Amino acid sequence: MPENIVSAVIYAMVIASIYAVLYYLNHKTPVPKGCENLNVKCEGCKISSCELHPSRKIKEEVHD
Amino acid sequence: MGEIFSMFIAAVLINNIVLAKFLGICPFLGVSNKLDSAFGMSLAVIFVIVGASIMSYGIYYMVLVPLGIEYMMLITFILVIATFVQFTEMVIKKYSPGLYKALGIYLPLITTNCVVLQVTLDNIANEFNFVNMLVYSFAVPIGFMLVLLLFATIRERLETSDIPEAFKGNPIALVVAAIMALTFSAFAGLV
Amino acid sequence: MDRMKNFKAGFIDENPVFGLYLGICSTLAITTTLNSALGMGVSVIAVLVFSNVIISMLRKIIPDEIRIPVYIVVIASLVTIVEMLIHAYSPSLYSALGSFINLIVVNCIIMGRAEAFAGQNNVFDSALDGIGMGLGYTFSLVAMSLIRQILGTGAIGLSNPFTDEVIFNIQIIPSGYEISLFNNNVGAFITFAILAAALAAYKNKKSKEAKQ
Repeated sequence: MPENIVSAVIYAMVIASIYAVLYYLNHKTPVPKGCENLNVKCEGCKISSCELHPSRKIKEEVHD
Repeated sequence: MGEIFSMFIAAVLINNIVLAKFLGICPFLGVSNKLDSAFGMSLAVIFVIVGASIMSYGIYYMVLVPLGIEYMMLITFILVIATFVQFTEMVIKKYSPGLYKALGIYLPLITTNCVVLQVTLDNIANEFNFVNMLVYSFAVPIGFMLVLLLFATIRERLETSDIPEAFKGNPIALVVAAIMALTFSAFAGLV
Repeated sequence: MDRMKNFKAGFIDENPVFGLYLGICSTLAITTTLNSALGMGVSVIAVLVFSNVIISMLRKIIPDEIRIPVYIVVIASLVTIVEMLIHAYSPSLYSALGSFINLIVVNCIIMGRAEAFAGQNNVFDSALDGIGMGLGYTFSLVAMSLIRQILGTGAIGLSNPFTDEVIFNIQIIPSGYEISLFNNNVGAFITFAILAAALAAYKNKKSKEAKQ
């Protein structure tokens, strides 16, 4: 076992929670007016975790 | 000064991140259909790489090395990049709709981009000092932008040409990339 | 039978590399030799299966808004472990793959499957999906590396990554007649383009037959 495993785990949780908080805040910040229907005309890949994937917009509309 | 200049030229032309090192192909194929979206994408990439490099370099030498946990490098860097992108997107959304129109929409594409992670890892692997790190982190996305803009102009012309059915879309784009790689390999030995 | 269809779809119909263009960066760089293609394929299968299983086990506990950060942490930890294992047990594979082991983190396939499948399905289905997608990816890597190695160096060989002993090494094209273009980056792009176009032609033909 590496010596500093405790500090590593604590450090990882700190940095992951900073990211999680910022991700949540960003998700809640609305897009500026006039920019609602901008989309990158990107059909390059089907990365479904990319926020600009079409499947995500359908999910969000059903959600609201 | 000469060393910085040669490092800059090497990163842009000789070891071009897209054509010689095969990184960043996903946005390269996805966003290069139109010239203005290609330009917006490259500006966003330059901004994210420079910012994330500085942050991850700082965190590596000020937190990871003193604590002796260098093996957390990969987890740290990917989280730093993602945090930086989220933070930037939030700030741009709130304070500058014009900037959001220009490059904010490309920011989510850059989080899982090979180029950003590779530059941050290279800064550590090559043991750069601070100035070299800045030059390298600025030069690599400039190389990306150069290739992306050239590629977008070629692709705009390709849309009106007669291409075999099987090659339409991405395969013909890859053939163009092969020819561009051949052209850029002539720069080897420049510096 | 739905599971078998999903499993087989990863090979030709929804081939992640040539059909969906995911994970291209490592494909172009790794496929110079059969050894590195197999090594990379096995690493991706390992990370994919374990990340699918872990995320599927955690799927009811993670709040919906922060699932992407959690996925990233899980995948990055797994890749760090895999990198350390490869560095320890197989130095030749480590130097052949270089920094592309680290780039498995941002490999689109893993994030994509975690989001699309493991977040909603149970553990066994997610593990099967991981194996299927991983095998499809390895199959594409092996196909491309066979072409590049045979045409580029004339020989095809395989060696044990743990002990570096050669398992077989067959010279197919006599030396002096090989096309060394396929070893460097230009050949990578061209081989990829041809294989992608072949898959697109096959899919076009199948959809035309289905319409009639």
